[in-house]
Amino acid sequence: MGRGTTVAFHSYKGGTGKTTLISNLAALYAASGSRVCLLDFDLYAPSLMSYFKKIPTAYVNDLLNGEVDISRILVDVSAELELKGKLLLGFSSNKKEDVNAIEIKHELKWQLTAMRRFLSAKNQLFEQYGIEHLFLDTSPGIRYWSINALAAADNLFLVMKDSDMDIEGTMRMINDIYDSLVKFGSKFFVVLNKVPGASPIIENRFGADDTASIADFEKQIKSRVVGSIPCFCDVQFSKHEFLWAVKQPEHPFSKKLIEVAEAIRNL
Amino acid sequence: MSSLKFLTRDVKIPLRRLFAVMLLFSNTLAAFYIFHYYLLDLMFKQIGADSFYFFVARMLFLSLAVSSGIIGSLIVERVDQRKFLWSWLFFGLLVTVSLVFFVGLEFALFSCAMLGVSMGLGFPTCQAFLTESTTVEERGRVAGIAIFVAFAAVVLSFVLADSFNMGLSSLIWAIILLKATSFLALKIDPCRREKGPTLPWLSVVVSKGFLSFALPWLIFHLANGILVFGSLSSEFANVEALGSTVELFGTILTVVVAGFAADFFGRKQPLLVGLIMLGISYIFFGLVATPESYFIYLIVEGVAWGLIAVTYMQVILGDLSAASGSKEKFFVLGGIMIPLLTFQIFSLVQDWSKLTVPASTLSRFLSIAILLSVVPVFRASETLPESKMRERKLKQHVEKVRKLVEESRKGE
Repeated sequence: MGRGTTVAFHSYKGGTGKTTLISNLAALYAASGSRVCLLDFDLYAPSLMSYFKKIPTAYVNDLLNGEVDISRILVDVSAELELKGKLLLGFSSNKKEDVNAIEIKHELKWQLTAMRRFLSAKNQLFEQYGIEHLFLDTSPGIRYWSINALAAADNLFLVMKDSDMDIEGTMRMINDIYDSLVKFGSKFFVVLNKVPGASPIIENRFGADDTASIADFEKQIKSRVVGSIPCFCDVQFSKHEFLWAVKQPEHPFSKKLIEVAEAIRNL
Repeated sequence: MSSLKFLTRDVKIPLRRLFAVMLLFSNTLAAFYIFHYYLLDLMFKQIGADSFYFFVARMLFLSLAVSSGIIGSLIVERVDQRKFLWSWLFFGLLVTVSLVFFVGLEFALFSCAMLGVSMGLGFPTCQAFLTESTTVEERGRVAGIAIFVAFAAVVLSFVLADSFNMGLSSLIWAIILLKATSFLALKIDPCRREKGPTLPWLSVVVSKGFLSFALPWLIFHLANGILVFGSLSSEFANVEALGSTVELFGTILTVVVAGFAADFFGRKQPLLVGLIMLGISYIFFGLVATPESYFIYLIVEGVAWGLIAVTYMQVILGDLSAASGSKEKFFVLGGIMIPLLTFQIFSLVQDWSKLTVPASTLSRFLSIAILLSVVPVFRASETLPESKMRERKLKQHVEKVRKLVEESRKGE
């Protein structure tokens, strides 16, 4: 079996909708018959566990600490979600002590040892589990474990909002870290999320002038935009949005996500 | 070769600019070094003048270098930097060329005074030019290389002078060549500066960063002056000549390392290492005062001098003055006044300052002063911003992690 691809979703700030997008995309891939694994690498502020409402027996943290094997952390949700393919999930711990432990473990030796464990687990996922697409949900900003996850990925997706604050910070992040990653052969792309325009307010053309065209935006950020997902209030303010892309495929948000999934697949 | 790529990480200075920096900064430093440490002595020996006149000439050179440094830093704040550099280079070249045609004691004294004026007027602007040509991440490396080039030019001048057996005139021609080629800097680079907010002298002096670093620099010069002028050179005159050459080579080899260390580990580290090395060498010499230990002391001093001089004189002063429109004031105070005035004071008092205290005892006492001088450096804020160091650390982390990823892929 050939080696699968690894994609990481990252952002400059929190609240860009990264976890929602990556979960939906992973589910879409699995729904279309692919073997997918989604790992929560937002070790500093985990959210995948509450998104999927699961309590695993072991966490990504345990894997990095060398306490468990990859098989112990994986949770298979394919059957309950009635997916054609496979969707395996790996959660990171939201316990205060585990988050604190990650926060303070900055020494290079541990970082590299943990990274080796993760890479070995990644190979296992491809070889033993036949995973075709490995999705990594990373922490926003520049932190050790977001860098580690990004470095392990073939394609990086920067999820951002079309706001000056986000653009400015993302540009800085590109200069600081992405350029180094690109030097080593990684490719990075942008996914614009929560773009103004889907709500009725656009009928009054309010804010329309502030929305830069994709071409201008790509020039500014020096990267390709693989998707532009409008801000849908029902998604944004839903009490618990859960895999709309597979549960409500007719929703415009889901349709947009299907387009993005296709664009990513064709990269 | 790819493993050495880290050496040029974050280097953004364009090649033309770097070349202009070398032509202005390195050439001026080399010309100063050749004149002050060799040519001056040779000139007066050739004239056959009394040692008193040599002393007067040196005093004229040093005092006018300091006073014209003060004047120059005020002028350059008000005029176009390019025009200032043109005039200064022309003046320096004219004075040096005149050395070829005119002879005699009076003229030698006059030219020493004029060369002092030339040095003081322009060298701080060359230092400021290096500062404004570099980002904080690359300043150490560019400074280290520029100072290395200056020393290499000095050594090359001596080698050529020796090969052609031309003595004094070859050294004069070497300085002429250095000054003439400096004009090329203005040809390849606009050498213009954005005018920034100017600072009064007092604000420079009392600024916390300045004093914290100037104090150990001053102690370093005082200790060196007391030891060398006070007793050492007379006690160990037999190893002085060879020792000084070895000391110079120690310095030459260290300047580049100092510059790289200042960029990779921060400014305080090479400064602290230099001061601690010097302190330990003083203790060592204090315990074993023999010609051999003096020789070792000179080597360590050369290395320490390389570390301290690059880090303080160019990098830290550059960092402290980078945002100011009065960069020259920082360089005049720290880079010219402290070393030249202490040298001048010790030259003035050297006859009566020949101490009866043995060099070993003096050395033990001075080691305490040197080791204590690290305290303000410890307390001072690092001038290489923490954010830049963190950014670099993260980039190194990316490289290490990516290597692991590559290895893992190969192993599949």
